[in-house]
Amino acid sequence: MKEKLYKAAISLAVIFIAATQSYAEISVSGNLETRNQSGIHEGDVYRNYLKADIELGENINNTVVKVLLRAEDDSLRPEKDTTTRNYLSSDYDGPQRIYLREGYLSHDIYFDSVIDSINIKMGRIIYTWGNADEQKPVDILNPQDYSNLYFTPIQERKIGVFSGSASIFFTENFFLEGVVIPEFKSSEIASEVFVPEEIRQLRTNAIYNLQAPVEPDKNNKKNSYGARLGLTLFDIDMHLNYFYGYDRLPVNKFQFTTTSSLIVTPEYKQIQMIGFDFQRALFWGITLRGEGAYYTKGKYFYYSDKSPAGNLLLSPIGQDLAKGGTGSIEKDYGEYTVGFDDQDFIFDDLYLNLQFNQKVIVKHEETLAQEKYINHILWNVKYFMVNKKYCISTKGAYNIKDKSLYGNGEFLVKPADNLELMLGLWIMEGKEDTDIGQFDHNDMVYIAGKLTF
Amino acid sequence: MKKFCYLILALLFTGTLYAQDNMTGEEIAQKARHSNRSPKGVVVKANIIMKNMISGKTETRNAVVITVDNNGLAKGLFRFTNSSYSGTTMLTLERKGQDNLQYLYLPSVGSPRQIEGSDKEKNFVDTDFSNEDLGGSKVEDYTYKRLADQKIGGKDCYVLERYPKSKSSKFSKHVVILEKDSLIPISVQFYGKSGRIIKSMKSSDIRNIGSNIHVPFYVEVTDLENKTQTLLKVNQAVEKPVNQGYFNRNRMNMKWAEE
Repeated sequence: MKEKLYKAAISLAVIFIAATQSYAEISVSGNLETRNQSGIHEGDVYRNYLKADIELGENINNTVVKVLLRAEDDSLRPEKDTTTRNYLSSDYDGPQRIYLREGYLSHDIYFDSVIDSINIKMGRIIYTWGNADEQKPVDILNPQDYSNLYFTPIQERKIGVFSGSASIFFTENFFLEGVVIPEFKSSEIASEVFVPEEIRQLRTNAIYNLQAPVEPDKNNKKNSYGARLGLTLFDIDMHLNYFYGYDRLPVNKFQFTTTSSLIVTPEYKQIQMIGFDFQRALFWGITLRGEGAYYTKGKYFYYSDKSPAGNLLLSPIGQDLAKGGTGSIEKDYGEYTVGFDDQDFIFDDLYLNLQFNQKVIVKHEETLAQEKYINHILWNVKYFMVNKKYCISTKGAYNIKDKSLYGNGEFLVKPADNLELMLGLWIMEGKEDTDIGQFDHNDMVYIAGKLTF
Repeated sequence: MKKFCYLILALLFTGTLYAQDNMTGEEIAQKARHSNRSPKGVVVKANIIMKNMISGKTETRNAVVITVDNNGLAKGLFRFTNSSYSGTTMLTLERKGQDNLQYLYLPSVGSPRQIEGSDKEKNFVDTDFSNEDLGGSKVEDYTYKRLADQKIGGKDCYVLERYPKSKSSKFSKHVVILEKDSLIPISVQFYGKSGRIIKSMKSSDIRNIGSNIHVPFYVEVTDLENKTQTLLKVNQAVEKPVNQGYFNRNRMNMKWAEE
């Protein structure tokens, strides 16, 4: 594996040198990031992470070429081994990998009319839809790498998806975008440390017989589609969003067997989402932002495995399976995030961002494992000092119902304009049976550095 | 960022119309606002140098500025193209009878953020430019008093005092010197409430780059309280047709051919 990494590093170096020496007109930029995450309670090393992003760009008249290569050596990710199923990904590479994170050709045609310009883009593209932060219901076009859970920001988690897009810009206040994604690429869950209990059970509990995921349309028979309409009205920036295509996370399909075990087959479903997002600057530096998504297809929710006698057969999921069901039911589903931020809250250079996120299962049934509502309060507070050379910050989320939370505190220093050093910690609090509380024992400190070139 | 963008807009869109000598201070300011605007577009590439005047430490970044005049209303884009701020982009849309609409795009966020316009005196990122310094405010935000003309460096200049109408302003007045030929402000002194100068801006090396479009190739802003300085050194400035589609918040994340 190391040999593979070295080869890849040499390839990158060759590309870099070629780009800088042979083709002076090609722009080269990027960053190198290194990070160590260690547990507070046991002192375990959770993660040694080294990442290099190299971006190559060239402009030829109205055509822009962008190539973003990422090389990663991440000890958090398990070795590639199909027998253990300790990762979930349509094309898993193991701890070390080099891949094309984003790469596209973008061409502009511009007019002197009511249409300002048309942009056509094709390649591996990272999209950003919506106006909220971190919990973004409409931002679902790209697969994500969840190996480090929510400790990696959403923009960094995204993986480019092969697609084509056409955008029509009518003045600065109105635009239309259409996206076709003729590729399926799943999100990645591949962690040696942050393994959700549900996945741990599927892998280790003898009652489950976990099958390989059923991946859709290897032959590209079914595209995914997205469309977006942007409008500014009364200073409110808003978008209508639509997506019909594959969910990046699977639904587990359960089946009884004659040997009293359960066959579990992850399946990727097609979903239909209608979304809306907005932002509006108000007063005193405050900006209101939000986004919401409503799913009319493809969202499945598991039946509960709880029964008074502890007998799985008598539980709602057992009864559903006995009737020939798959252990889950499709429901309409809604999610929204709304909040505000202020660049100079109370005093100069104090940034405050508060958001409320709610997930709702429409026509919820008491027999489902998931509650009808899941409510989170999210915060992000930063204080910049000495002309933004130093920053202390905190961010995280609090689940109102089960009173669990994850939170981060960080101290950042910029010794140079292109160098950032970070020291921080993450804490997780909550009962063991909650989404966040299951990682209560994984409180950790981290030290990191990022050099931009 | 918005302050800086305003500066660029102010510097690039101040006038070449020859003011008449009987004009009031406000009329001169209005003339300056409507001059040096290109309906085709202006592309400026510059180095931004941040200097700590006590330690002598400097940091240099590259930036690209694109501006265009659309039926008398300015649109401006500013982007850092290197350092940890690389890709950080500011879009300013001038509007008639309303505050300008502004968006800040940070690559780490991924989508543009609408910016509230009340923080006109705040510094942009870690530079010494503020909204007011950089022309982010409207002509109507001040009252004006015209002082006696001066000759500076052999050039005839207008001298104006302007007083912020906002009572919350940290400045008591600005003294602005505009070159008569180009209507580019070559000096602005900012007086604090104490009556002392707390900030200054100077511009020089003013060149005509096209159809009466004047651009100062050197701008220097000094914060006398914090002992810091920000220098803008223009490497290249051209008048050329630019893609009007750039000035849309939904494409602030895209690369420009002009980069």
